[in-house]
Amino acid sequence: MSQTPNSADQTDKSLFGFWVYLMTDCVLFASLFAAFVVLRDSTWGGHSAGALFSANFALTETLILLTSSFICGLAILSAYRGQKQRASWLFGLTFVLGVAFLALEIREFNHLYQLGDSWRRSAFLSAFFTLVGTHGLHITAGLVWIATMLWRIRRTGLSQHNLKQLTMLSLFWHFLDVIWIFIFSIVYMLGLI
Amino acid sequence: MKGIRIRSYVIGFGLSLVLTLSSYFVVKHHLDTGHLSPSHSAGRGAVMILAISQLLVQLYFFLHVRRNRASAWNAAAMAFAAVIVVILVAGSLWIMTNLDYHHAHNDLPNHSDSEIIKDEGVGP
Repeated sequence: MSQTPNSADQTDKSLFGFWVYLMTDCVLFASLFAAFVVLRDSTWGGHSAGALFSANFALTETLILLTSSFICGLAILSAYRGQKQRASWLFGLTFVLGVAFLALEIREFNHLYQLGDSWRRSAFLSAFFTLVGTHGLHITAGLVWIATMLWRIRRTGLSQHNLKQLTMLSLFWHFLDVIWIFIFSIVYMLGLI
Repeated sequence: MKGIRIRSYVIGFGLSLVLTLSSYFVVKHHLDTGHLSPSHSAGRGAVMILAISQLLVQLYFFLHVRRNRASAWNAAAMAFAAVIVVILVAGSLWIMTNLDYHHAHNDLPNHSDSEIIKDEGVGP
């Protein structure tokens, strides 16, 4: 199962390129965080973070996503060891946890919308929906990617090509959990204090 | 990506769990004591320190950013992104807290609100 020097170099370059993409994604999220922090008190007479957020709910979402990131790590390890069935099950579990997270988030968005606290209500809410919504869109893209990889593993197994893509996928998924740490802390925890 | 072991993920998961729950309990305690203990600033400080710690834990145990030759380029790209992020966030906070809206004619209460209403032609 050894690679020729060429393909190993290619993998390294691809992984580094993907890492650079993740760094640019960091800058994107930083700008959304900056906007949110500046606007968090601009409620235009409406509800503030303290009135709208629940610590228990935020914790639940966080634990689900954290577990998902952990399972993803176990999944990629199985893939490296050529354990096709196990890797598929673990990536599948990663997917299920990701869906659970997204479902909770959509429920919260809908709840706020029904209350009249949509993104149109105030600058604070605009910034909230933009920041958290962008993260949610990234999660959605990740879920599509996981599903695609599960299909590819079924069709062509754990080839070098698929392993490279699975590696990038797991980097992406871990990255999304890292961003969520800051959403949990800065939006929800600090919002409640 | 060779030589990574399950242990890395297990330790990372365990530490992240502890840090997340700590943040949660700091806030819970703060709310249960009617925003008294810990104080607002102490609570904020604690949450941020716990967040940064968890970032470092996940970078090391999940994303495998180490101080070896293989990670050197990744670390360099990350350091550069960090510089941009710091400028962006700190700069935005600095500028936005020093606007005229917030500082000029602060003798009148709600002066900035009436200025905004006048300028923009809107109202709450």
